[in-house]
Amino acid sequence: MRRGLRAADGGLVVLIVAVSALALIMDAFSSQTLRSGPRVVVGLLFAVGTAALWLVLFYRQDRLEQEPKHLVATVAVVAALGAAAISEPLIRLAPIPDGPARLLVGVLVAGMVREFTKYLSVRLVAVPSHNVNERADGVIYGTAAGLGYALAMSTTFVISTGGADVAPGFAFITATMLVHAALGGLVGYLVARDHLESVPVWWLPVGLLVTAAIDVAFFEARAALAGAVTTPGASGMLASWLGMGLALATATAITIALMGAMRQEEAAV
Amino acid sequence: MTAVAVAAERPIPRKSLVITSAVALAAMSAGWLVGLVVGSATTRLNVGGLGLQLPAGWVVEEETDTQVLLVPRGLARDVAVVIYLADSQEASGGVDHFLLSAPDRLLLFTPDSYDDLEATFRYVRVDRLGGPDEVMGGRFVMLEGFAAAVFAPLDQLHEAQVDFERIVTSVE
Repeated sequence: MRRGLRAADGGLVVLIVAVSALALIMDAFSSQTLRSGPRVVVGLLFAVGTAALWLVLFYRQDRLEQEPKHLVATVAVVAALGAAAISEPLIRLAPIPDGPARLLVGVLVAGMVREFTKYLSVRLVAVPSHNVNERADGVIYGTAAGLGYALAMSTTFVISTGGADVAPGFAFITATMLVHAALGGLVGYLVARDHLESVPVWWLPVGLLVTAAIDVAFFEARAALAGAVTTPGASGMLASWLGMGLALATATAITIALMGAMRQEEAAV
Repeated sequence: MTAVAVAAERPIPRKSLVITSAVALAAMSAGWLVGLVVGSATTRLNVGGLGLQLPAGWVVEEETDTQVLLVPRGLARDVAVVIYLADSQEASGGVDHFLLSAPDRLLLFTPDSYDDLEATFRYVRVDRLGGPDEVMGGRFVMLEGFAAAVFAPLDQLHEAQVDFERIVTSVE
């Protein structure tokens, strides 16, 4: 499975490069010609297609003992519904203050709501089915939950903007998918360990808080990066692509850390 | 049967679920409370029928058909506002965007004035380039859900920029 994770990560890079190229090509042709309606359709198709492709790519790496397809899909759907119906509307209502308290509130409210939704999706759907019997299973289900969550965010984004422009829209969706899938994998790993091993009672809540902090740190860093490179007259695309690069780096770092942790633990057994 | 497999077969205790949920809910509540206390001065501005949450200290002044948003100099330091002009895509095909860095004053036209000006320009949206947090810089993350348009007529953009500069000087 570890080799599978690595292959999936490599496949992901290929997918992102392909998507970026596609976005640039489409942007060159469609931005001036596509009206809002078709842009919404294109954006939605792209969001659903990317999430589905990624899930299939990731799922196929688990060749030894594949998880039930319907269960993986159910986890993703539950996370997407939870995000669209409860979590994201709740986050939009949250009173995010200015100043130093902003990060604290961001982690405790926005980050925690997002990661807790993924946690519940894995814990309430996958774990009771008795299919989480190794740590990597948790990563699979967690990734599915992350992709489901990202799908909800992306479709909301596309619809609320009346169809985002193709290139920045695709970059936004891809970055969202990348980070939430990786964070979902981390949450799934925490759930699997909590379920399969004797860990202290504080272990999972603290892990969830740390994941929420990484979540918010990424979005804050991306915003700061975008602000730094956006200058009068400059194209917003640079910020978009840098955001995607940061997302790729974050997702890769999380995946490497997860693989390292699993390797270390397996060696210790 | 391995220890892991045995663990997978045993009944699933709910203690961890209950504790994790309790901690998560407590964390969210605490965060919400901090936000309410610290951010209690937050103003909400209705632009284009959609709520725009303003940070504390930002003031909205109503003019005839224009809402003028005054941003305190100190707070506006890292504000970047993209004004996205799509002046009739099918007509001129001219799609461009302009960035006004660190403005202290934004002109927010009401939907009524937007209707009047629609013939001249399509609309200006700050969220079309990839979402507020994607383009606007850190300051605008707090404007989560900012789906409203920031309207500015094409022929007044230049004036608006000049105006921004003047206001920046005067606020200082």
